[in-house]
Amino acid sequence: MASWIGIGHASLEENPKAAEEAAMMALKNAQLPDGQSVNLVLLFCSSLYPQTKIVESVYSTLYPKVLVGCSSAGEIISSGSLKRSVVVLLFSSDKIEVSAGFGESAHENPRQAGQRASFMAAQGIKKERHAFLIFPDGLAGNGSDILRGCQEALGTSFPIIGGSAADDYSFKKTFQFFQNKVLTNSVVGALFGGEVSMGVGIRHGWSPIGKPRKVTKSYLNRVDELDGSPAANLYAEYFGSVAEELKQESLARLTLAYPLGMSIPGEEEYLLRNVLRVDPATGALIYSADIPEQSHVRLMMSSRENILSAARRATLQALNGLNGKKPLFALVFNSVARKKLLRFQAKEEVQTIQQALGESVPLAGFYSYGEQAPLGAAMHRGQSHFHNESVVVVTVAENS
Amino acid sequence: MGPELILVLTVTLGFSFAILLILWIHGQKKLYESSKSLAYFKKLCEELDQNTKIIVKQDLELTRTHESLDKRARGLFALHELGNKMGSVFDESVMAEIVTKTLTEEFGFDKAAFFMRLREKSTLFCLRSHGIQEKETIEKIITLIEQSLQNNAGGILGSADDDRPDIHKIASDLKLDSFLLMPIALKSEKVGVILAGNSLSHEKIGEDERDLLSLLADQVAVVIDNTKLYEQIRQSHHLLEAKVQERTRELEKMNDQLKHLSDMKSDFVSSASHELRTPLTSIKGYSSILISGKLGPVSQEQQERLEKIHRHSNELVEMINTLLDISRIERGKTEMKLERFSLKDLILKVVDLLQPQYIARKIQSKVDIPENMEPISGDVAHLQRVLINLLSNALKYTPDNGSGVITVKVNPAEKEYQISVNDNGVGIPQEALPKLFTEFYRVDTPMNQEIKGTGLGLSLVKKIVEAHKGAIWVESRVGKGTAFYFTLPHASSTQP
Repeated sequence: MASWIGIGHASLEENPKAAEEAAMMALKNAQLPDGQSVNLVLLFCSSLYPQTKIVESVYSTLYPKVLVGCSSAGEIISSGSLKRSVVVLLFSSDKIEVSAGFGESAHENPRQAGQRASFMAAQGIKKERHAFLIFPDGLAGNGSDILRGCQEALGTSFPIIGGSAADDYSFKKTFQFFQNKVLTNSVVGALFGGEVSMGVGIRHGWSPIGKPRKVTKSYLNRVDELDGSPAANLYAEYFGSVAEELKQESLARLTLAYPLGMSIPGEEEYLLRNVLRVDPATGALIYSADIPEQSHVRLMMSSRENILSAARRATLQALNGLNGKKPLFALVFNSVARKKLLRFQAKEEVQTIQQALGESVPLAGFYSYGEQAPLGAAMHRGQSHFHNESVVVVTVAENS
Repeated sequence: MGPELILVLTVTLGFSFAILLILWIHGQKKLYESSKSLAYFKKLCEELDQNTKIIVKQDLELTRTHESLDKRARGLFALHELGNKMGSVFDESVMAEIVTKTLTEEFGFDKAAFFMRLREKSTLFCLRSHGIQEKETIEKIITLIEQSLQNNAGGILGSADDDRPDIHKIASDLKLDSFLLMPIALKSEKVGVILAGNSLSHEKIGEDERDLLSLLADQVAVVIDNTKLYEQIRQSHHLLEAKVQERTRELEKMNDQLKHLSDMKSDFVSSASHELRTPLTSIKGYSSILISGKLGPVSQEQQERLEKIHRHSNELVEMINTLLDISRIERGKTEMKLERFSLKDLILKVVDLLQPQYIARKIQSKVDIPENMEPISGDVAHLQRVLINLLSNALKYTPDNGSGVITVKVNPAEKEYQISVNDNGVGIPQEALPKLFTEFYRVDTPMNQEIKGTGLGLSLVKKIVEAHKGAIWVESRVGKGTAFYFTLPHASSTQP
């Protein structure tokens, strides 16, 4: 075996040594031989604790070639979902190359931030490039634009997979980690190259309902009008008096269960968009990614069964991408919306994924404010999109 | 250009026009039809959309009900689990840990804290909290919690935009959007408070949570009560144990003292008897010399008195000897000279020895001894005294009118023989039975005033039987008779 993988976690609650503990646990689980350097560390942690201290602790404990990660809204390991914790994934391989990059000012210039992060990471890979793992700020910047920037540097159909940084539902400030530094309003990413196979699966489980609506006025992620009337009216129309009693704040929550869907030609599932904010003055809806003018959108609906089975299908899709190779480890970038909707069944969703993967496959991930993955992932070379309310499963295997 | 050509052209044009006209009309008709079906589809679409609205509304209702039910079911399940966990908890800080952990991990609250009064009437103290980083803040809000719960037993549902200033301050200090304060009441006394809160506005705490927390508080109250009871029981148990130990020590001390006293008594009796025996021997010697007339003639009256002195001296010597024996056996100074012999032979010998008395008192003697008795191991001389003593007693208290019967019986058992001496004499009053084997005790009856005795015989008998690892007891009914039982182990079980 020429690769080592270990995952560690610890609760940050009243434990100033949690980061070290998680790092040591990852190291112990990896059974890394003396002298073997650490290629990659992925770090996901709650935003409620001093970030710099956590990142520096993990970095100085493991001294990896590449450390990337971000703050989250809940962390994921094999046994289920965690709260207020730190999760460390350690990976080392002789055959696989990893290189990291970051781009700042995602809010001011999302496209440029994506481009810079990709370009910087690409410099470090000499062998064939396979996939780019990104963690953009989930609050600052247009998610679709960041992705476009990455695609400009790496190619339109290059697989870009990731989850947007979150901040435990505070919706104030998220953090991105690059080596021993803590960034915000940025994009960080790790590019994979060499003898590696990666499988990606993404699903949400929602289906369209009702008649299509035309976006008659929108600018990037702000939708002013649908079918010529204020966008928020759509929900009032469908939910009637119920929507009246729900105040603006709750409308955002309502759209978690009933997001908008955009159909993409040739794709099985719709792209989902959920509302970040409502502009009470104009009735405009602010989404976390683009909804182009003149596009058609539909109201989407799902059930718990469909949401849970989507997680299983995403996992199977990710396994398919490896062409029968056994995964070394798997990553999950799961939407906070799903956690919110599933509530106590959130653990069940993670277990579903672990079961589909096989019990022995190490698993780590986090709950994100947005997901990035190619839709036609079975073909592996489809264009990546920005998603909401979706679950992304990534499998990584070494080529024999 | 000829007129024919013009005609042909005209006709052709006419035809073309007619065909075009027909085509146009046909097209118009098609257009009309398709616009009709388009309108139909539009209408259908609208209708379906109306249905969608109904479906969505229903779904929303269902989702909300589902969520509420889910929350309750989950909460009840967590409560049940909590109950199981707390069943074996008798420590308040362990309970606080379980409760706050359940609130954050199972119920899904962001923050939770457990307050308790450590002593009656003292202020609340935060035993445990989850999700609250600012420990100093908790200390600060304790007074606020006390105040706001003063006249409230059903708990308080508060939020950040609350009108009540105390409630508002608790929310803002703990960075909570909504929270619940639930008092834990034990016999209408508020012994503690549970706090649970969420920091985000779209996770507002409502009546569902209040109901669950109220159930939880009840459960916690029971555990606290149990803990207190357990503590009381534990303490009284300790107290009791200490008392028992103290009493045991006292008893041991007393026992030692008694033993010492008993030893002193035996020593005293032994030395006193020795001291008494010497002058008695000379009294006996001189009286017999006087009776023999060697020192001169003795008158009839003198003779009678001298014989009395002699006889009483003899009795005294015997009594002293018995006393000496008792004290020797008691102090272990007299060893039983163990030898194997036939118990049957011994009994028959003793009965034979006493035959003249049986005859004199017209008492019938019965002996019931099984054949093939194993030999026993014992001190023949001492056991003979036992039998003589018991039989002499029986002879003394059995009527001499010819109806008296004394039976000596041997019952073989697994490891021992049980020997009984049974008479149908006067019997012994119930209250006298326990004291029967103590030294110098004599049953206080008019009849006993006449019958001689030292009150030492049975005491000696008991000592001898016990020195043989046997037991002795008595059964008696006044007017019906008395039965003495004693046991002697088989030879095999006395030998090592």
